[in-house]
Amino acid sequence: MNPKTDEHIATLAVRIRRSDRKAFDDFFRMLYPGLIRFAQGYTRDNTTAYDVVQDAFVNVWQRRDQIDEKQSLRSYMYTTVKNLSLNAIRKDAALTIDTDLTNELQSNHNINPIEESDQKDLSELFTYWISQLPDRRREVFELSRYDGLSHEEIAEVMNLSPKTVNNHIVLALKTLKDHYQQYKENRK
Amino acid sequence: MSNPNKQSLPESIVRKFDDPELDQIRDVWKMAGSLKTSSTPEETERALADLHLRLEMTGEMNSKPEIIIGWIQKHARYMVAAVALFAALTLFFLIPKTVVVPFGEMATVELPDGTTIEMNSGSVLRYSRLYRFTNRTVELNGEAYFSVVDHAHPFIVDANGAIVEVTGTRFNVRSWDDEPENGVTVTVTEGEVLFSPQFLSDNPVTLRPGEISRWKLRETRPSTPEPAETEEITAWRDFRFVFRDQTLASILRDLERRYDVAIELDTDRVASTTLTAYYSQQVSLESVLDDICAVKGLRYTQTTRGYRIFR
Repeated sequence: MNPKTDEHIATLAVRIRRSDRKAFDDFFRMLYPGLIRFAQGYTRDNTTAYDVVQDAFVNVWQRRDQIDEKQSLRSYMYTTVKNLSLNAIRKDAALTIDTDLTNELQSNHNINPIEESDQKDLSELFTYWISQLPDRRREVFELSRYDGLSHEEIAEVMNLSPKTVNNHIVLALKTLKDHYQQYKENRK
Repeated sequence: MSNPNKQSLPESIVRKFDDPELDQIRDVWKMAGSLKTSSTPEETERALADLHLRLEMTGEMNSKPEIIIGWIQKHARYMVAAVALFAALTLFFLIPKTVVVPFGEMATVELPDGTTIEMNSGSVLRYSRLYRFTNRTVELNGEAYFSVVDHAHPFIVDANGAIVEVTGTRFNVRSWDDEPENGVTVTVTEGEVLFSPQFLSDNPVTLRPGEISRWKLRETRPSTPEPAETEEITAWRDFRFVFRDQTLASILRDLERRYDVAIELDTDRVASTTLTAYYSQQVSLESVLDDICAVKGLRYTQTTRGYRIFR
């Protein structure tokens, strides 16, 4: 999607394999915001997400000698975070109860965003609309639009075909467009 | 750093829409790209500091040497002559200069910028051939006394995972990789130095003249500087010996290096007991061994390679 970024990450991957700590730090800074958001989508809990992302980076540093330069280190990180997140959820059954609670709280909180739309910032509305997309579609869309992953990378992380990834993004954009048109109509 | 916000709509998506709708889709694409991500740069830096701390605690940060040979081999096929020359130059500049002081000897090294380093027996010093041009970093395993001249680059000693950073100053570093229990000690006689673990260099301790500080692997910060007997600590420079509350095991290793002998200790029980001794003049190894054995109630005998101490 963005060849320059891909190239940059590939260079960092080579340097990390050679134990270059500066490259590792750059890599961390680059991926951290996206990975935290991605982990939170699974764990619904900031502390667990934080731990999961830390574990993922410790893991990649400890196995830096096995980094495959031909594969995207970025999709490797997202895949690791996804697996660790799923493990964390499974391990802690109590957390599932929390998840339901948070979901409920969140939906209560956002119960009528359209009505208050005049006071609300448009970007908040967009964030809300994105959060209302079906889980899988939302994840694909966020990976693409927030984190700039290529279709191929998303396909690898989410176990989908690149074509399905494209469909998800297209459908997400359609939904968002409809919301946006509706919003503009209401304001007239 | 990438900025996904700026990315234009991928072709694979453009193809799915017709003209009037496409413009609206482009708007939505742009809007979604301008949304904030979840963490601020400050949060990211904090998380990175946590990660450093964790890797430091597990001892995972100790780097492995870089591999450049593989890269060269891969490309040599195509540009044999050019690469060979390039490789030779690269190797020449990348392979550091190494100074090894044999057991039983001492050495003084003068670096290209005029900095002098007095090295105790058995110490190893390593520095880049580009020293002075790109950096002023040296690696030390052993004990050395540094007299650093002022220069544009800070002078940095990398001593088995500890970092000592200075500008113009004089100080002693003791850091033997075969004595991890004693860690790295830094003593300053002139000027100021910053002392920190390699991967937690944001929060160093500052040592002033006459102060000593110690750091051991897996500690997050060197000890608070305290007054030191600098005269005793740097006594080795005049071939003198001062042991203050030093373990017998560590003393014997000092003797091995200074006199280039092997000293076996047959009884483990006394190895970690401490001893204080002061030799103002050069002494023979036998007279030091006589004293140690007298104090600890031990005996010693000569072997083919050196000495054996027993009860």
